[in-house]
Amino acid sequence: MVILKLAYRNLKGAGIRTWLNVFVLSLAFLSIIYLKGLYNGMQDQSIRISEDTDMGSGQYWCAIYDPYDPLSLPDAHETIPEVFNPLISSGVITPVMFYQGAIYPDNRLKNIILRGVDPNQQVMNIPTSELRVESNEYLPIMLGHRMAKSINVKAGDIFTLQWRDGNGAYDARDARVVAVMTTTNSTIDIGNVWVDLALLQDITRLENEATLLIIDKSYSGELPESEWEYHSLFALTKDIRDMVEMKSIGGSIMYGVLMALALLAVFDTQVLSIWRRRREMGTLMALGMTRMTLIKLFTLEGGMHGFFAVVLATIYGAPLLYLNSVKGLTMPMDVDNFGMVLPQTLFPEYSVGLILGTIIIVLITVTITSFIPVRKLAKLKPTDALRGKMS
Amino acid sequence: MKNQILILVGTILLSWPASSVIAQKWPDGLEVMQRIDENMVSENQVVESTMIVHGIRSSRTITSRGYMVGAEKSFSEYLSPPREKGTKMLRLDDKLWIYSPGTNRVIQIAGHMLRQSVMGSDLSYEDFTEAEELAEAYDCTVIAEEQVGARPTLVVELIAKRADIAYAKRKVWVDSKRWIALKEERYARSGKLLKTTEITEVFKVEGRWYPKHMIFKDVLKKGKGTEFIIDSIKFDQDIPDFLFTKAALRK
Repeated sequence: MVILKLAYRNLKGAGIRTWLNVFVLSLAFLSIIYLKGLYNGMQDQSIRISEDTDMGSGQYWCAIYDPYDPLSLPDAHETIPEVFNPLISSGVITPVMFYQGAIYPDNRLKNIILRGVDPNQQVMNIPTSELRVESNEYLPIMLGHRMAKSINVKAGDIFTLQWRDGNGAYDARDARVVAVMTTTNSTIDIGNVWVDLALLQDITRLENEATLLIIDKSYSGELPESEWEYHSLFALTKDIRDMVEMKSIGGSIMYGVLMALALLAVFDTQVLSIWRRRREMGTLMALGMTRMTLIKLFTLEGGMHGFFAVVLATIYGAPLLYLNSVKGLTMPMDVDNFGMVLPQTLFPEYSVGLILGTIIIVLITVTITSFIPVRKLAKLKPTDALRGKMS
Repeated sequence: MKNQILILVGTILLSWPASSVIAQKWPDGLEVMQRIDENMVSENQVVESTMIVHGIRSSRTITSRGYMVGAEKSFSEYLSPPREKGTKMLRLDDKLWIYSPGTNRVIQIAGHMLRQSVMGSDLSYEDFTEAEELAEAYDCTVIAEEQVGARPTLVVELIAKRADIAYAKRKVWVDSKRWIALKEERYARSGKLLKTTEITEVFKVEGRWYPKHMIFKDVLKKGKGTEFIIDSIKFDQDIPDFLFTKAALRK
């Protein structure tokens, strides 16, 4: 307790030197929490969006479908196994068919993926009900807002849609954009054209076929066994986690540098402090303080930089981080080019574990950094110290 | 590439056997196709050609040399422009490979890539992979007589015999004196016109009438289409088998 009071008084006595160190350390501390929170938020939002608009709680894929092999796509459709019929009827599972095609907006060719979906489905949070349009003149299609923008079309526009049916014969008809949906999920938007599944099955002569089945995210019941391969949401979102982890590693280099700078300042302060306070150390030892207690005192002084940094960061950082988590961070550039599902505004997530973990890491590293220059006090002779010498 | 075009054109123009209802005053569709065959079929061909791709802003001219054996095998190499020189294409039945000297890699064109335009032209890679004899695939009927330019032609309608034929319907205008097709239209299953081919100039080689200047057009796309000019053609040449292997692409 005595050395605690002593350490506090010494730190206070060092004045601006202490507070500058504490401030720099608090900045590094805050940066770590902010960046980690941002990556956590990015990952959670990305997974939530994918779950909500595309993946559900999992998917069944037909045997040929491989999203990493575009060459598999032309054949990636099979008859939906009957075992799924009850769950499809009850709306727990919705079938989707991917099919290659081409569109000619303004007579310019663009290759696209036709996504056939049941307009009445409730599994994906996208406005597929807009496809409930009957017309003999044109095929009703829906586009995402990015896709519509990239090909310069709007709701009501008509252009030619071309495809090869399941037998390989060319077919083409005029398609009308019945709706342009706004979605945060760019993977279901860019390069995709949404169409009624029954209609797609009809025009491609692939009756009752689909590429994959999406399971409702709220469904927790039993899933049937099938020759179609089951992929859980965790497996489906592996890419997202890998991507965030990769970005997080990149970010950790930055806050590693920040921490190193702050710790360097603490280290320097400790070295300087030991040099300038030789006589004080001699006096304390002459008054009966052991070398070990002296080491503890100086290490504690250094370590208290970390503690003060946490307090200071809490004072000015907590409101900032809270505000940021509520208002979010709107990215100044288009997030569609990030290679993963991301909303334009990111909301960082600061968990208790993240904050406590970061505090512990900061305190430990600061304490270790403080201890390193203090080790030499173990060999300090009180007489030398009193004469201002370091042995 | 040129070979592919030749195959395509050859397939369209050369093989037209037909079987169908005979119109009262017109010859049988099959007979018309046989006449074309007699005029144009050879064991193999070596062709030097020029392709002019008309873009929205400018045009590009590409020359190539192609070797074809029947309708199943072809090998072609770009000769110019310098950027494309050395690019080679091999087709064996419905398989297609491209070699790019820039990357020194052989790529199989399949799936989505088959829909891509060849060098920005109105022809897709898919167009090159059709190898089936039209006579086998279609029912051919002469449905009219028309003038194409100054030439009298018979209009032959081809209706696919099976559901797996690429184009459900085609129409071909055949010169009834020279037995060479002068125009072709290809239709989707819905009846929508997709592509046209026009032969604006023909020439006589070794006693055969052969197309000299063709214009391919993807009707759904903007533009003036793609011109294809045969600079020289030799029939029944001694073409080594090695040429029709993937190894030949890197040579």
